[in-house]
Amino acid sequence: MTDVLARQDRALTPEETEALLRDRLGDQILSSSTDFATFTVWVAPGGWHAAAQLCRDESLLAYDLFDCLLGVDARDDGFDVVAVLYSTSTGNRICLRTRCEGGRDAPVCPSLTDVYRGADWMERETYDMFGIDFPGHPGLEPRILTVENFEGWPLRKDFHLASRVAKPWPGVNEPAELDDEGNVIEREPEVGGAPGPYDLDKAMAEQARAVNASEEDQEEGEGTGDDAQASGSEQQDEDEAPAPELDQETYDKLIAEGKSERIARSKAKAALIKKQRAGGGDTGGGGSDEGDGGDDQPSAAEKAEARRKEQAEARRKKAEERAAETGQDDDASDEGAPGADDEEEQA
Amino acid sequence: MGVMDQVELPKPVKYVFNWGRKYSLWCFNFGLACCAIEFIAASTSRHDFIRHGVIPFAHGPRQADLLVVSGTLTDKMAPAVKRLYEEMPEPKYVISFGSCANCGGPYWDSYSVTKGVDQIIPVDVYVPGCPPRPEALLDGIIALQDMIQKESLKERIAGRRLDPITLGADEPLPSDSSPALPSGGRAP
Amino acid sequence: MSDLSTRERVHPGSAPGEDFHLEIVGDGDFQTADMKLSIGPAHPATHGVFRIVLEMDGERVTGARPVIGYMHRGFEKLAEHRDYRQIKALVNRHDWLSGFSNELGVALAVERMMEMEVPDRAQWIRMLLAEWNRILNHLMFIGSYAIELGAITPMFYAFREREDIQHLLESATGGRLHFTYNQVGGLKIDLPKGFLRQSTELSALIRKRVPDYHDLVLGNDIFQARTVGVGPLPPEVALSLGVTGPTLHATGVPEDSRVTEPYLKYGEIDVDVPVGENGDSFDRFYCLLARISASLDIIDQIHDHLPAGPVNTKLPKMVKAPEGATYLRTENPLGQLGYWLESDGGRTPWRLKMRTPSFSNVQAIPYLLEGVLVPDAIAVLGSVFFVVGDIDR
Ligand code: SF4
Repeated sequence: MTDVLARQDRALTPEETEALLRDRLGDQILSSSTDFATFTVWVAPGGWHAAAQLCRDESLLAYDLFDCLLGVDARDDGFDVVAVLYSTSTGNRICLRTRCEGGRDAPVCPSLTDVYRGADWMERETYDMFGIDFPGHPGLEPRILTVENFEGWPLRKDFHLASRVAKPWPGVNEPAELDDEGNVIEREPEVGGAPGPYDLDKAMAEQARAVNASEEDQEEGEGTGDDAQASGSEQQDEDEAPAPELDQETYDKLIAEGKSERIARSKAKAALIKKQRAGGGDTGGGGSDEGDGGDDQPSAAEKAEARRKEQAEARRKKAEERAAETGQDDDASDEGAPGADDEEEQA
Repeated sequence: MGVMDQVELPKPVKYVFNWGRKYSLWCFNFGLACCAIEFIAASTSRHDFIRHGVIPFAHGPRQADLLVVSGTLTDKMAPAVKRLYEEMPEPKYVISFGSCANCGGPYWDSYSVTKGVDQIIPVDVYVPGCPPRPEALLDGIIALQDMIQKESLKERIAGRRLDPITLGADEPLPSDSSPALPSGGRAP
Repeated sequence: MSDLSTRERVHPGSAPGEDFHLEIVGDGDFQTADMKLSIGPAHPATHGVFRIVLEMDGERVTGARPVIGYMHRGFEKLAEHRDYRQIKALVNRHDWLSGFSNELGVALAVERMMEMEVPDRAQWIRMLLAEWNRILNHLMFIGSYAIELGAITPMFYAFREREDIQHLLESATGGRLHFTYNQVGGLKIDLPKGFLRQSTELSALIRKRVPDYHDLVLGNDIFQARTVGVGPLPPEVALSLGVTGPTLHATGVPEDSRVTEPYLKYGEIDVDVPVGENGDSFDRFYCLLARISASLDIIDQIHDHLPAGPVNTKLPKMVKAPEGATYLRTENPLGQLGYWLESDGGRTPWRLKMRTPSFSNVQAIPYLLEGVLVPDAIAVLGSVFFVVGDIDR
């Protein structure tokens, strides 16, 4: 124990480490950062393998513990792969990060399995979650975590959770989803009017029946074309905003556009739910009434609508301000918006 | 089983017979996740369900009367659970222990979790909680034993399953004729 | 017992892609046909839904392939759909034996990104509960490993202690397994009255009972015959696989992030890291058992240090981590739990990767099992301590 700590004195600082890596690998080292106490070095994909090898073999670095390897969705640029290495002799940690070649369609990253044994399963997991190919890996198939015939790559951002589309978040605030203007979706908590589990189940069953009645063959996979799915969903967001029709119509439209069925179905359901939230119970089309089918409901709905508009307005103003003077704090804008206050959990 | 599934036993015989069955439930624990730890806790000395006549030492599904599914059932695991259930001899009972086994629990929106073991096998008693306390399992076992005491083996084997019980529901525990909840009733 | 000289011949290099075969599979007349044995996913020897496919020549294992994913619940995806406060209800569920330590890591990572100052008292209490949680976890493995080797009794002893500890933790947190006691910026509430007294008493009680386990399990002749020299793991292999925790300490590497990268207040107290020499099953179990005493020492030190004061900070209306990424690790009972938290400035993480100790530790199993006999395989399998949910998340 003590000799480990003593050797930490000889450890290289992040700057020295970066200089050493640059010296050996030249322009394969792109940049580095030490934000949030995390030393990250960006490596070009071509230097990925060499960088890892250097980190292990160079006696000044001696990163011997293979900590972790993970993928990150980098939006339109494709995917990143991060390898975290640790040195038990110096107590240093380094995060090597690279952007996969091949964009979103066919991300590829060289395998590190011949440098670190531990990369084996980590890379299989990354393949399973993101669909990143690791040439040089002894065998990425069969999929390590998900069931063998699973379709799609779960951790890509364009993989939607079916349950979340079909069923609204049971709490007041949607944690992750934002509406079209980028606002937090909030539901009016009405005393005694919250939809119980049975109402939701009924609504889901009805939706499912409505969808099933129109389309029988649902087995067409979505995993066949993730790229198509990605561009498709983006396109869809544009389509959907101006004219959200009935659940069924959205669905038909999407099918006519040649979208995959599962996407169409999810989108159509999302459209229906969105409409119900916005307009109360006045939509037909086999949806649920969200349990609030009372007399005074139009006013509540209007209130909610007005409030949302207000929020959107405030949001937009803030956004403009922020655009004008970049670097404004995010939290301030939230507090500026009215109605964002029932978030607080702590007394 | 022989004649049991052919004839309705006379009432006193049925009573004694069921009394014997309900206190010798050989139990196979299908421990899947966190809830399995609470199941083990319920079987060890502090809570000790062996005193209720539940014996957690069944060597396999073929020797078991009671299957306790405790924990999260994933899509990858589901075929194994189904097969296990089918290997058990009749009459067989299932306790679904924990929110995950009941309905998916905190993983209700996951892409890889089966939302409830009752989508695959019939369940007799649902024990809600995440994880349920060992006491809740004891309560569930007693509810199951009440059910066994009242049931007719002939009907059971003929494939007529009684409706599931949900612990904590307001209604009294069901007798033969009045089920507590419509089938598919969910634990809260 | 495995034949060490054979094993060295089998593993000339350290890369997994290299040839994976045994030349010596039996001699002359006793040559037997290869056979595949699939253990699990529901098998008593694999505690939890873990499946392993053994390739065997007679009674000797020539290859092992763990099949995981039976408990994959999609945590990382769900975390992207929960806000920072909701995550902690999910995160303590992946390794169900160390709920407190799991949620601690997420809270620390978020606090680091938000540059939040956590009150001293909260940090000390977090340490206190984390150490109790460590004991809770190790007791479970002491019981279950003994069961795998054929001794049922230690399980009942272990659960006697576990119930006491769970009772103590429940009085503070309200949970027996999943405590959900941490929150960003501190703790949910302060400790209840009388907690420290109970905690002191319990630590003395358990200290008195630890020798029982030494006598009952570690000193047991049968136990020693089945574990000493079985499944040795060399330190270089362990490190390159990413093995951590007691499994790594058994190989003689004292790498423990409480010491080498202290978080919370571990820098202010003495942390003893028991290490083994040979990295075999016996050493792994020894480290686990010795860590209980080490944790009790830490708990006693914490009792002396615990300051007064608030236990949480005022949170902003929305908990939002600024844009960026951080990697943080904590010493979980089974090894190092790392969190890669990447945020795009929103209410939910952009990516929350958990590097779980069991996942890396289980990777060592194919290496360990090659060349051992089937009964030894069970002893090896049980001694690489893992929780299935921690492998699959
Ligand atoms: S119900 Fe809760 S405690 Fe039980 S398995 Fe599911 S998550 Fe774990």
